[in-house]
Amino acid sequence: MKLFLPVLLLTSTLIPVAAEEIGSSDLLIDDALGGFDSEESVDNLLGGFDENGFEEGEFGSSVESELSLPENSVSAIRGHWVTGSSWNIAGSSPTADRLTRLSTKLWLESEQDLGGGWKLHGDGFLRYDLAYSINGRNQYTGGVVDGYEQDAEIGEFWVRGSLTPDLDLKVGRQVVVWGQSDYLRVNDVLNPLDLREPGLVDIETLRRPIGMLKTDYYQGDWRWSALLISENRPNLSAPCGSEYSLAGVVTQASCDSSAVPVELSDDGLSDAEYALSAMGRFSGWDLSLYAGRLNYDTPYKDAAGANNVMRNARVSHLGAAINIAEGSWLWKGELALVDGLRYFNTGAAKKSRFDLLLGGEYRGITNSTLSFEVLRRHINGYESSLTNSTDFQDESSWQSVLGYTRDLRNDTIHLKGVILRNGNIFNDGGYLRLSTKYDLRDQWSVTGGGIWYDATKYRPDWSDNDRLFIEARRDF
Amino acid sequence: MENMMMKLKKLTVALTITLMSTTILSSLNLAVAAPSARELMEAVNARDDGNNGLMEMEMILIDKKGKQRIRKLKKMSQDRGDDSYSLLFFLSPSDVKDTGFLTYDYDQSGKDDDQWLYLPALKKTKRIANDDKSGSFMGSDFNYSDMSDPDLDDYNFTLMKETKVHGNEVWQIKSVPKSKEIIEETGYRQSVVFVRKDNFVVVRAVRWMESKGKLRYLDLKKLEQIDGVWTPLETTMTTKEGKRTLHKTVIRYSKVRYNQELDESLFTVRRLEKGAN
Repeated sequence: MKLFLPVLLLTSTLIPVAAEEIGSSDLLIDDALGGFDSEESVDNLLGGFDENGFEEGEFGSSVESELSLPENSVSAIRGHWVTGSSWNIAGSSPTADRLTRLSTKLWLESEQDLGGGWKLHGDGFLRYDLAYSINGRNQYTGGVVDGYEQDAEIGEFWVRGSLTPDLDLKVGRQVVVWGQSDYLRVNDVLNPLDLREPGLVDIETLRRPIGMLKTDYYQGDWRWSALLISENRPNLSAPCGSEYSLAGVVTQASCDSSAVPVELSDDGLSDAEYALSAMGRFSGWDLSLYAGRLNYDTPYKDAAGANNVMRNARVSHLGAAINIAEGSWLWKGELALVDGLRYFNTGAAKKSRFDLLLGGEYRGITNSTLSFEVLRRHINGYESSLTNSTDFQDESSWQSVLGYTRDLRNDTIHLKGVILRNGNIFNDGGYLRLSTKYDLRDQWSVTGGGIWYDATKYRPDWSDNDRLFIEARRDF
Repeated sequence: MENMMMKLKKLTVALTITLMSTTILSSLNLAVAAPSARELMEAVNARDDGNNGLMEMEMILIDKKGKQRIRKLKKMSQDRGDDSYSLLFFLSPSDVKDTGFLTYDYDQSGKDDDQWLYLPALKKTKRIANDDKSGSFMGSDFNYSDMSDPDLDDYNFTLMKETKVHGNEVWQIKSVPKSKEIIEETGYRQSVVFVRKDNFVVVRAVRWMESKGKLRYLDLKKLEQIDGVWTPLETTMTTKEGKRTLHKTVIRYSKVRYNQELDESLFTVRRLEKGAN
């Protein structure tokens, strides 16, 4: 059997090649068909049609009455409901109970046409996790219970329309995605992220919408955008005591003793962010340019005053992204220069960082997509103290991702695998996430999978956070 | 469009003359060239399939147990010279509503299509690079290669016989890819198509899938002339293995209108990101 498989693979590869070499694809096909030219066998095969009749309309007959789609097939309010659970499956769990989630979430969204091409959109969600009451809230820190047990959030809420034929305006809470990469972020820096359970957050709520005024001007192949962002929402990070936090699972007393006050950027114009972008779409390639004066979403511990305070650095961001399509390959490149970064161990010094990403996406395998992305970040004017707590930064750092998706059985089964590795030779930890989604019906689906983490050189250490998860989703 | 009409007229005249000559000369017992399968397929490709079109589309996916999934879409299309531009939006089911697909299908041989996919859940427009047309079109029994005209230079055609389908006279033509690459790109090892003599519409086809033992049966169930364009309004594609039906797709078009005043700016990423309404 061991010998049989390689021989089979070898011969299955060689036969078509041999046929091609003698320059007769007909030979290959005819051999495979086993006598297609025989009229009798052809007619047998051609007899496979279902004879359900045939209708031919003539001029002016009413087709629409027979075939028109039901009006309002999707209601004005739509959304989904998800119930799911996850369990820690690591060798040694950091928590006493293995149940890490038993939650239900209701997501609602609505859109309303306001006339004249203007549209109003609103969405939001409610989520409650029973795992904390089942396991007992007293075994968690207050931050963990507050951060994970429930959510009630207004998501996007905006009005959009055209001021002139070439000028669009969108005002309100919204998500704006910069960049071309799918897994690693270089220019996708406008919206803060939900980082409470890395690798496990729903795609709909991964980016946190923020209030802004956005105008888009269209000129030929280019779109020019200007953004004024007045709402400053932080990343949702794992709170102290969480399995995903910097300190890992610790007691409330430990959290209290290490707590650092937070003074994040304010909403309003005083700390507002400004950004410009230009995006050109051409035959076979796209090019984007980005510039912004932004509040860096990952706060640093500022030791300049009498007491340490967590703050957002004010940074300048310059970036570019390119896509090039070539056959079944889509090549991606992104770069960014972020200036004004602040760190705990380098005091008032401002640092800049250069990020470069290269990637590709291959769709030449039927119903499959294979992606890879490699990102290198380099801190300019690096100081060795940045390796110390709480910065944990190397001068250069690498991240790589390999992703694979495949749709099976007429798009009812969706397989997805993602490997993320840190380090220039993939040697500094990361995670593997595998999942399968099965569409039971148009509105019902179930997803199951797992995520396995490897420890990285620096904290946080997630190596004991491996999980299996399952969820059922009903769309309406 | 005008080019296509001219080509079609020329081909129709040529074929009519050839057929008339065949009849006359046959009666005189003289040898004469019949319309070649290649010429017939050129007429099929040159057939007017409408311009500046608007339509809604219902796609019913039926598995072997009879369980149905229904996708509803809205489509806009425009010809610019020999190139075709199209914009497709999902109307339902709810989880994919407003997912859009913009395609610039270039006629120039060797030039890749430009395709962008807008994913509302990600709030992101992705460029899609895909030479491979062998994948399933949105989970249906149609491959992407079924949704566009074939490059005739990639195939050898044989006129098998003349017969009748649904009471209409048809040519039965065998189409065999010239290379393994075309088989891999389209997902089909060969096809037999049935072309109606009066309007050059392919009313039936049998396609031998790359995966051996499986056949696909395309059957045009409803055809109507709308704004002078012969328009397939209901088509089924059934995947079979032997006598066993593995899966079936019904595509129905409704609210079909041609020659609409569609601005070129409709076929842009700007419009793609605004959704179906």
